[in-house]
This record gives sequence, C-alpha cells and structure tokens, in this order.
Amino acid sequence: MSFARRAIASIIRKPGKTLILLVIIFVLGNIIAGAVSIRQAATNAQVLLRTKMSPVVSLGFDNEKYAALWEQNPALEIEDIALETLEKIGVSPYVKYFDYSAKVIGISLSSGFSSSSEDPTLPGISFINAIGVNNPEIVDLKEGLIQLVSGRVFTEQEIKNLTYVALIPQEMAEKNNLSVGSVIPFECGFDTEAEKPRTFDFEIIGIYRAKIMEGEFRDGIYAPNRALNEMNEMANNEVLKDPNVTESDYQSILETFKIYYTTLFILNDPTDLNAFREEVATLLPAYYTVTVASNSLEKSAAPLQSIREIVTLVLCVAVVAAVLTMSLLITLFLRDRRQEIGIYLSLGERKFKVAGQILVEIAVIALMAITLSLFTGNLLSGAISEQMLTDQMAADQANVGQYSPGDYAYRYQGATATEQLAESYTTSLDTTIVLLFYIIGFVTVCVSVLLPIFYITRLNPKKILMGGELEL
Amino acid sequence: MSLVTVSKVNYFYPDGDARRYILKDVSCTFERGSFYAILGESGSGKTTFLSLLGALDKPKSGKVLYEEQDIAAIGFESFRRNKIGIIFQAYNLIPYMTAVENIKVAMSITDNKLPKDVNEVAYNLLDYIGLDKAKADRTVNKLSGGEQQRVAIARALATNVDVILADEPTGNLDEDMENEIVAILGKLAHEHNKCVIVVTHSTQIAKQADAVFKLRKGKLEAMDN
Repeated sequence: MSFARRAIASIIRKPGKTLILLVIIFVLGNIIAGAVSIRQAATNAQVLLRTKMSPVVSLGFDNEKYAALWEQNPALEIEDIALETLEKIGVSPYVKYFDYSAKVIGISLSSGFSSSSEDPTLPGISFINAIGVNNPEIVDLKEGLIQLVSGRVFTEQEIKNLTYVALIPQEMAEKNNLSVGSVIPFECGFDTEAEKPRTFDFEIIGIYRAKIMEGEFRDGIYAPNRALNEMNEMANNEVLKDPNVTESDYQSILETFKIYYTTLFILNDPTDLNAFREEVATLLPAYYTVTVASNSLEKSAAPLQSIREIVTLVLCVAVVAAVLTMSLLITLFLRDRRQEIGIYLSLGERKFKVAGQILVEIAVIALMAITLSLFTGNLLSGAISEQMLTDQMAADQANVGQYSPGDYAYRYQGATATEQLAESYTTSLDTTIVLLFYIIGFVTVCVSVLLPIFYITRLNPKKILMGGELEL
Repeated sequence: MSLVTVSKVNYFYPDGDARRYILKDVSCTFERGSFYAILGESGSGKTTFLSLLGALDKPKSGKVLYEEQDIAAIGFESFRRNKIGIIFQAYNLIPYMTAVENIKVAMSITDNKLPKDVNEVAYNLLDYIGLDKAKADRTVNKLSGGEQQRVAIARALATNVDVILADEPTGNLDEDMENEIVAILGKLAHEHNKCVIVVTHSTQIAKQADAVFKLRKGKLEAMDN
C-alpha cells in the first residue's frame, strides 16, 4: 500500500475532513478562478483591441493654450498647418496610415439624383457630404470602416492630378441605379439670376458599404482633395461674377467657404502615442495639440487596464489568503493525525514519503475543488466583469476628447469603441486561463503544505506513540 | 553471534546541572529463537530501553548493535523499516484502514524482499494469528482489543524481520486474551526463530519467557526464570 494509495484511502474514508477542505479550497478557488478569468479576459481583450484597433489621433486647435499665448502676445495670429508640415508628420515612423481631408459638407446632386439626406423644403435637391482624400488607398477602407463592394480605390495619379473620380455608397448607387463607370453630376455654386451653378461630373470608380461608420459620413462620397478644392474654388470665383457682391463681401465669402483640412493619423502602436506627441510638438505651433479619438486603444483599453489592476490585487490577496487558510487548516488536521504519522514513522517510513502522502491528499482534493471552481468561478466572473466593464467604461467615457462632425477622426469616435471593446472582452475558458489557473492553484497548494511538511519533519514517533510532549 | 547486543548504554535526562539516569551502563545480548521478558516497575526505564532497541530514540552513550553492526550506522529509520517489528500496548493501528490494509502498509514500507502477492500473505498472517477473512476486512476500530493486538503482531511479522519488540502487549487485555497473545509470541520465538523481546509488568509473560531481565535503578539485571 504505497503512500499514494494511503492518501486516496484517507480521502475516501474521512469524508468529513475531505469535505471541509474541499469546500474551503472551492470557495478560495472561485475567487482565484474569477480573478484569473477576468484578468486573462482583460489581457486578451487588450491584445485583441490592439490588433483590431490602432490608435487614432488628429491634430487639433487647443483653445486654452492659444488663449494663454494670446494674453502674452495679443498680436499672435493663428497659423494654419501647412500641407508640407502634415506630409512631414505623415511619414513619421510612428504612423501607420495618414490622411488629410478637405472638409466639404453639403454639395448638391443634380436634379434627378437622390441621396439619403433630402431636404423636404428643397424638393428635387439632394445634398451629400464629400470626404476629401489624399491617401489613394483610403484609410477608412484600410481600417475596416468601409468595405469596397465593387470597383477600386484611387490611383496616385488621380489624387495628384485634377481628376473628378469618386467612391460612392452602395445605398446611393442602388437608389440612382449607378454602377462603376457611371457618371454622377454635382452642382456647385449659386443659383441666382446672374449665375447658374456649375456641374462637375464625377466618374464612379468604386462602390462601398459602410461597416461600422456612423453618422452623416455614412453616405458620403470619397473624392480626391484636389477635385473638391477645385470645385470649391470655382464656386467662390463664380461669386465675383455677381455685380452686387462687393470686395469685402467676397473676402468674407472666401473666409467662410475656405477649404481647410482635418487630419487623421493611425499610429502603429498605442505605446507610440507619447513619442508621436513629442515629435509633433516640434513641428507645429504651440497652440496645436494631438487629440486622441475616443476609440483609440489608449482610451478603449483604459477600462480594461483598470479591471486588470483591480483583479490582480484581488488575485494576490486571494492567493495569500488561500495559502494562510490552507496552511493553518492542514496543520490543524495533521495535529489530529499525528498518531497515524507516528505509526508510519515507527514502521520506518521515510519522512518525505509521509509528506508526499499529505501532499497527494491535498493535491487530489485541491484538484477536485479547483476543477469545480474553474467553471463556477468563470460563470461568476462573467457576471461580475460585465458590471465592472460597464462602470469603468462609463467612468472613462467622460474623459474622451470630442470632435466636430466634419473632422476626419470623428468617424473613428463613438459607439464603435464600446462595441469593439465589448466584442473583445469575453470570459471564456480558453487553454491559457485553464493552465494559468491550475498553475496558480497548484503553486498555492504547494506553498500551503510547506508549514504542514515542516510540522511532519519535527515529529518524533517515540514521543507520539510512547507518550511525551509534542513539539512543533 | 548475538542478534542484538546492547553495549554500555547510558540514557539520562538533564536535571539542572546534574543528570538523572534512566539507564546506566546497560549491557546485554539477545539471540534468535528466544523469548525475552524485561520486567520493571513503572518509571524504571523499560519503555526507554525498548525505544533504544527499536531505534525510536538514541542512547546518550554506548551502542546498540544488530548482528554486530551499530544501528546508528545502519540508520535508525532503515533499522526500523527492515530489521524490527514493534508491538505497542495501545496497538497503534491506522484507524480508518482495515486489518489487512494495516498489514499491507508495513509491507509497502519495508525494503525487505517479500512474496509478490502481498494480499495473500497479509490474509495468511492474520489467519495464522487467529483473524478470519471477514475480520481481516473490517476497519480496525471495529475489532476488539485482543483482535487489534493480533493485527499489531501480524503487522510486526509481515515485514519478515528477525526481532519483535513488544511494549506491554497485553496491558489492555483480559487474562484469557493475555494468555493467547503470550502463546503467539512464544510461538514466534520458538517455531519461527524470531528474537522476541517483551517489556512488561506481567509475571505471566515472564513465566513463559526463556530469559527474564529486570530493570532497577537504571541497571539491567538477569533474573532466574
């Protein structure tokens, strides 16, 4: 009857003690399993988010900084960011994709065409948002915000040269019976007595479907910045033809309808953010700042990081509590079994085998309790972490930077972050969690039996079996 | 050649600056095939003497030899495992195991070569000392005192050792049971060529023994039997 068999006999034939130990390890195991599961789910979600989402940043105007600088120097004038500067930032090693977009909202389609945003007060006129692009591959496509249904993206030549080409949403194509190769006429300018709007024919080179993009850009058209710019400039020039427009009116119109660009930088890695900020700071006027879109990894991963920190603390406390509780409990049980241990020692059993028997007993009970708690702990952790995630996301949402609808980065802001975070966060039982939990469990058990094993090494069979005080 | 030799053994407890001797210069020899009784009053050092013979304790000075080899050199644990069997007054069986499992525990611990079918050997041993299979399969706390002591004797024999040490083996038993146990111990010495050393108060056991020693004031004296 080997020490392992003796251990099994002890477990089976002393059900009371086995049950007490099982319940205690089960309870502690639930805390540990829950913490391991939540921690691993948070880690997995962070990794998944990193692969799903790159940090999205933009360059924005910092009102507070400008106000502070203006107080020092009231003659300070706002300087636009030069396209050369943007291009320089765009080739930074921290940047994965970069683009800037001419912000043109509300160009009208010629009569006979319709978009999803029709104004009932202006029958027969449909407005559409245009999204200027400088990156021919289209960052929104690269980042999965849209999907190309048919056709292609832009070519370098189409972007560089003045070419009237566009990618239109599937909805618009279906509504107007358009396909790749069709021409879509845009009207630009004022419909007055003196002048009529000019029509620009854009050739459709691709049709896309918005995947996760929300809001007014969902049905926008993608067109080269240069084409949009040209369209805008011509419209402005048309104004001059009106004899009623004075020079000052014209300047005011030019200022109002001036094209400006919003920027979008998709970074390679969230850890690059600070380095990118530092690099950009040297190239831009002091009142510009790097703003982070809400669904960037830094922001989205914040609740996960908070959860990870909380559960790591819980895990450490639970492991220490488990070690202490189990050590004391096993030692207490061993004191009850000292006669049995004395018998083994009087028969000449090696102390390490006696310790081995105790270790096997605890390990078998722990294995059962840990396996049970693995499942229940995982179930509990699912419910707990859902609440934790909701609370943390609500808390972190308050700190998110906001963009105006016309900003390029706006499309990367909003519900998609929450959705992706919720999608990425699952408390399932994968191999890593199971292995990690068993490793932590068995390390805890092994540490817990150190004190009892020390107790065994101090036992003297003569004192146990032939009388005398027991020494610990 | 003596099987067990006790050579100038001293055992004492420190008592302030002085020493309180339990055993003083004790020397004696024990042979195979003999049944020895060691008598003595309570506190005379009988149990201490037995614990030294059984390698449960170490003498302060002097030696205990087994086949002329110091048991310290053999190793106390190894000596207990392979050379001796001990029977205690309180039986000291593992309470949640059956009689036969108690025997098998001892057989699994020893390094001595034993027959392959330990189960059969264990049942045969129990049968030999008077416990049938039904009782052999009971947990020991469901057996009477006499039956438990038989299990303890069978366990001492199970490892195929030459020396059987017994500490007041009949101390908790009635007279009839005592006679039976003494008969078994005598049989082990005389029929199975074991060296049986019993520490006891009982004159009944002393009468059956081949040689009797008495411990008095730390000295071991041979008595006429």
